[in-house]
Amino acid sequence: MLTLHNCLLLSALLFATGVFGVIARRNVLIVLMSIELMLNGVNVAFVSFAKFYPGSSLAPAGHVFVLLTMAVAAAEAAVGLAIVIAWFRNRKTTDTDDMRSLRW
Amino acid sequence: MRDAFFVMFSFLAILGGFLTVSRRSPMYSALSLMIFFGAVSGVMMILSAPFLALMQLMVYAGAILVLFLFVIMLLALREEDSGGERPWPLQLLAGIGCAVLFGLIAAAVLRREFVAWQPDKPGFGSPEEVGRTMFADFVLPFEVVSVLILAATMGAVVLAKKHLDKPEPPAQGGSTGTGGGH
Repeated sequence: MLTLHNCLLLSALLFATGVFGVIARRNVLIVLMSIELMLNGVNVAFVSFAKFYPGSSLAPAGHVFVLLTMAVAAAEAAVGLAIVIAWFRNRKTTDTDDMRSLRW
Repeated sequence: MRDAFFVMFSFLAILGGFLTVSRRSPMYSALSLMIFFGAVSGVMMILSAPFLALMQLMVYAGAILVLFLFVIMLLALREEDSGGERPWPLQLLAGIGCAVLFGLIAAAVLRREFVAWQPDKPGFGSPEEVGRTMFADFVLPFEVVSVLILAATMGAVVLAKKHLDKPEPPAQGGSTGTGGGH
């Protein structure tokens, strides 16, 4: 059961779930959570490849990539939520369809 | 045993992810996200990355999730603020699109043959080894990430300030901060 195929399928399924959340939901908080879902799906793929193809290293590059991804995800969540707070203070909405000040 | 845990954690992760994108209230979504983060941490533990599993719990479940919960409670959303849902044909279309995306990745994965499970060398994935790899081979990305986090911190502080383009009214007692060039 625990094969690289299954790990990658799990990773792809989590990523697809996140994509669905970004496309289909209108609440910007849930869209941000879906982005975290996608980042975590990719992390699973990194860890699986590091486990099954470790090379000669005891901590392959995949492990380091996951740590860097986590740092980027934390920065993204902080900035994204700050934007949400500023937007909600000005417009009293979390609807992504209302966020079109920068669109044509 | 290992397989049973892998199946259990995978199932929990898929369930948590599905609940996160399908719940109507952001609070329920955030709580489902907690299940998801915990399950992904378990999967990482099974894939012999104990350090990453702990970091997953600390960074995601400990910091990012709490940030989400703080913001949800701070905004005190009412039902009409979130603006409803998309019509179901669009949601169905999005679901079909994501199923196609998953199918494409799955087809690409299943075409390949991969190596089977093999036991780890001792010390694999330990904090010591991850640190050694990171500071021997990946020093530059590590430093770049530190700059990124600094920029994100300042950006978040500036973005969440009360009035971005108006100066503080002088008569008000309120905040007497001197920072910020806006």
